[in-house]
Amino acid sequence: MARISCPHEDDVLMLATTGQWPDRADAELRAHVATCQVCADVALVALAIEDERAGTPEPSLPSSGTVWWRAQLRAKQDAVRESGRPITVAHAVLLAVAGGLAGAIFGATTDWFQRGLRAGREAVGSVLSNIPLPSVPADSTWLATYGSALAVGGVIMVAATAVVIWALREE
Amino acid sequence: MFTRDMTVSEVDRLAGVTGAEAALAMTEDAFRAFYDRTARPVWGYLARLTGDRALADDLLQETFYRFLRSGAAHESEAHRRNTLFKIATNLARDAHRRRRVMPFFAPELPDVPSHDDVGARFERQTDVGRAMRALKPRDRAMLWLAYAEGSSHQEIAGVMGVKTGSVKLLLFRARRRLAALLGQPAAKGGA
Repeated sequence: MARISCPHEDDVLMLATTGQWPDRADAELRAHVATCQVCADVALVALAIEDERAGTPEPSLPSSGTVWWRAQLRAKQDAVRESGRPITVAHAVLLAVAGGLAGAIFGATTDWFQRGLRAGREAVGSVLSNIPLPSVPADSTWLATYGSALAVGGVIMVAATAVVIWALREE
Repeated sequence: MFTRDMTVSEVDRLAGVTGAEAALAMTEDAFRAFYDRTARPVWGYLARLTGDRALADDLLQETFYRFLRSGAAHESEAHRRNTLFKIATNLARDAHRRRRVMPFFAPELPDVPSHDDVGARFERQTDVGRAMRALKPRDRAMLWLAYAEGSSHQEIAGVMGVKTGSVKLLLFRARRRLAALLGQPAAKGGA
């Protein structure tokens, strides 16, 4: 099994990264590197990377003051964005539940709404009774019993979904 | 990427925001000194990881901003520096995921200086750039941290998000790959 480290590699690395390899290395270390794959790789790679780093053109970096100022500005922007965020998902769910409750109370206590629901239910029932749907029995009372509750539930679900989607888009 | 255009009303609102400065982890003087010490090495690291100088410019500012907003307490300068390189590594990784096809390690070649040994040095740098480009991003990052930044195995593990015990083997393999590539110069005109 090949060795992955060598006791001399730190010495080789130190000489290579300080520009002293191989001139300042003693003969014994140079002889060792000639026969040690680990140390030979360390010397080759360290010298190559050092050369590459030294040859990189100087970047034109923004000044520390500019970076600090931009960070300040962005921190403030983020603070404003966070404080101005209109609604969270939790708020949306709460709003949907409150809306549903208000709708249920309104439906249960308002005569004209109940009359309208009854008329709608009868209209839907009469239409459905004229259509031979295999899944709806002709004498079904199911729709008559639960139709209005289903309609109100559907409206609430659609409204809640719309509110949640809107809130998520705001996020 | 770093800032966007603002309306007058937004600027007015910002003027009224207090506490944003306190949200940054350092005082201005401390930050400026830290930036002056670390910006160049971090930029060099980002340029090698992304192969794109303009992207490295953007990621550098993003790195320092995230560092400032992290609010983390640092035990020492080395710890602070490692955190910075870790943020830079994650940002480069994210950028790589977004772009997928990325010509890693391909910054523009340096201008040729007027030294006597210019030819040999220029060729060496070209070979190193070509060889680095052929490595995996993780290998490139590890080698740069170890041999350009002088990071310890523990520091590399912290920056790269790997176990300290694995660094020796990972570094050995990366070094072996680069040494093999450097030992096999590409054909003339090859990529």
